[in-house]
Amino acid sequence: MLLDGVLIVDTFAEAFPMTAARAIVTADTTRWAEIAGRTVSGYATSVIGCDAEVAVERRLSPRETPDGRPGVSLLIFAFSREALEKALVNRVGQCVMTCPTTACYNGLPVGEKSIVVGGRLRYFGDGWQISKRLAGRRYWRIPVMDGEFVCEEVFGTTKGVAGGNVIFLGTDPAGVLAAAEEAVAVMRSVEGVILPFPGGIARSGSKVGSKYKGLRASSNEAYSPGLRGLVSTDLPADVRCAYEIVVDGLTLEAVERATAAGVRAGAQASRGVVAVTSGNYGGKLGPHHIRLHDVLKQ
Amino acid sequence: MAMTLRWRSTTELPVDGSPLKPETFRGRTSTDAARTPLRVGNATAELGDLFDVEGEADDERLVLEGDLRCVSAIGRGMSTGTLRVHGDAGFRFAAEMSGGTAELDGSCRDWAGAEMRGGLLRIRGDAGDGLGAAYPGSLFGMREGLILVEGAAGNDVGLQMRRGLIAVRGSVGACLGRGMVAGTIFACGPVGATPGVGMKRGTLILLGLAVDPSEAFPATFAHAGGFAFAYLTLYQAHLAERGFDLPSAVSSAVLDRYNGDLANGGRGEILAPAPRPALKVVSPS
Repeated sequence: MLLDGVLIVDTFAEAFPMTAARAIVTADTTRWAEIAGRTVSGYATSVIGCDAEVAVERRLSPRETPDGRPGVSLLIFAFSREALEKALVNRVGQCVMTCPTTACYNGLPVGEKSIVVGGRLRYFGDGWQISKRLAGRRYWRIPVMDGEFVCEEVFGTTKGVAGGNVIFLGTDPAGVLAAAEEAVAVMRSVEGVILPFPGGIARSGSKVGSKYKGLRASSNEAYSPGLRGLVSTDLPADVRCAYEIVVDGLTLEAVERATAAGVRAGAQASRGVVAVTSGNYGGKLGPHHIRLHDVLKQ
Repeated sequence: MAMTLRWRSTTELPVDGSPLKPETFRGRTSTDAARTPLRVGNATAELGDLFDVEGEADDERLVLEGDLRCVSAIGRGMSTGTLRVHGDAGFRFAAEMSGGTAELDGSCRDWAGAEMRGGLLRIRGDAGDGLGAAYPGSLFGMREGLILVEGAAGNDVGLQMRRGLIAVRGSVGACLGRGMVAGTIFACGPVGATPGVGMKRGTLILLGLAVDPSEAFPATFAHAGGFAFAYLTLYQAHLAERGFDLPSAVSSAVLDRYNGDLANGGRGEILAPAPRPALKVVSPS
């Protein structure tokens, strides 16, 4: 399939289930809400090496937040509910509670599969924390040096989809990066997804395993142009770079919509993009196969 | 279709209205319902002797009409359905209720919503003393639920309240939240003497405090300073969804916090607008 003169490879991204939560972080100003959101998202690109994959889903206006202040919505993904709870408690405790004027609320329905966040952070109050229960939800008010930090006790979780991806291959590194950046901007407008890598883009796509014992992942040499002639390559002859966008979403449908939007936005022959493909492991890793041709037809 | 009970008796004897709640009449015809026994003074009468009974309460909706000031404990212990009263009610209206909605288009006497355990109680007129309070000798008052009063309320509102939310649009009497263990009370109008006295935990938000807090509050409350409380927006939205609007500035306003009662652990709080600075008359000379 050709899109704007760019080859869309007939392949699929192999995504897998991960447990997800949504946190709503508010503050007195948009600036402080965004600072908190960015700080929580630090060192949270891939569960290969981090405790969770986290990023800002979108900004929220005061009308959209529980306490009527500006905020950001964050999505957090981890391999299990236990890992998610641990990561979220650590990150909210270290990056939101410490941030001036902030509060943190749950952004998903609470069911049986929920995790305790505020209920663990409350102990920071050393006995001076105050509980408020409203409409079946409990909030903890923890005394801090600018007043109080409000955090919801329980956060809902859902089985999300992680590992959706699009890879842009091209001849002009700067042009391909610019095309990938445009794809990122479009994909981020889809609700319910995050792109956890720096600026939404990963340049160090990985394969499973390594020649070195104990390393879970290593460089994907088939997409490394500098190794041409040394290893079997998946790159067309004139391709000089590949940029990958990884997508995590609350639902498969959201990941598929983001994938389609990204492919359409980034397939720019004028910028030197020659092909768009996706990474997979032969269908053995994850149950969700996001076929590029299929999502573009939707 | 709701079942409607219209008061037609002229008795001034006290009537025990405890059976007058939606679950009593579920699945019963009006003829059958009219045979429900009620205590009147020291005797027993049938419901049909005091009320005209109409309709069926299959949908768990019960409507009462008339001047019911001598009928006490209407809706007492109700756990489901909707009870609506057009007129004034007697003592213990919807006391001990654990679920459903009780609405009073009128005023009621003391102990409305006393020891309530859940549900919504809405009073469009005034409430007497002991709203959401503990009965004498009880350990806890209101334990869960929501009470909304559009008019005024008497003394001892939320006495020994354990949990839940009370909001009063008009004035409240003395000893608001006395001995409160937890929970939240909004008082939008003037407040009587010694609010929060003996409170252990919980929050009183006194938006209409008309006097200097240093004179109104017990001496065992410590002023902590002025703060904006973002969490009040959660309450504001919760109440607005139920048709009870707080002043729009409540979430962004800086309210003074008073911690107390220090004689009982001091983990409760009273939030109130800062007192206006007193005007000083400066002599031109």
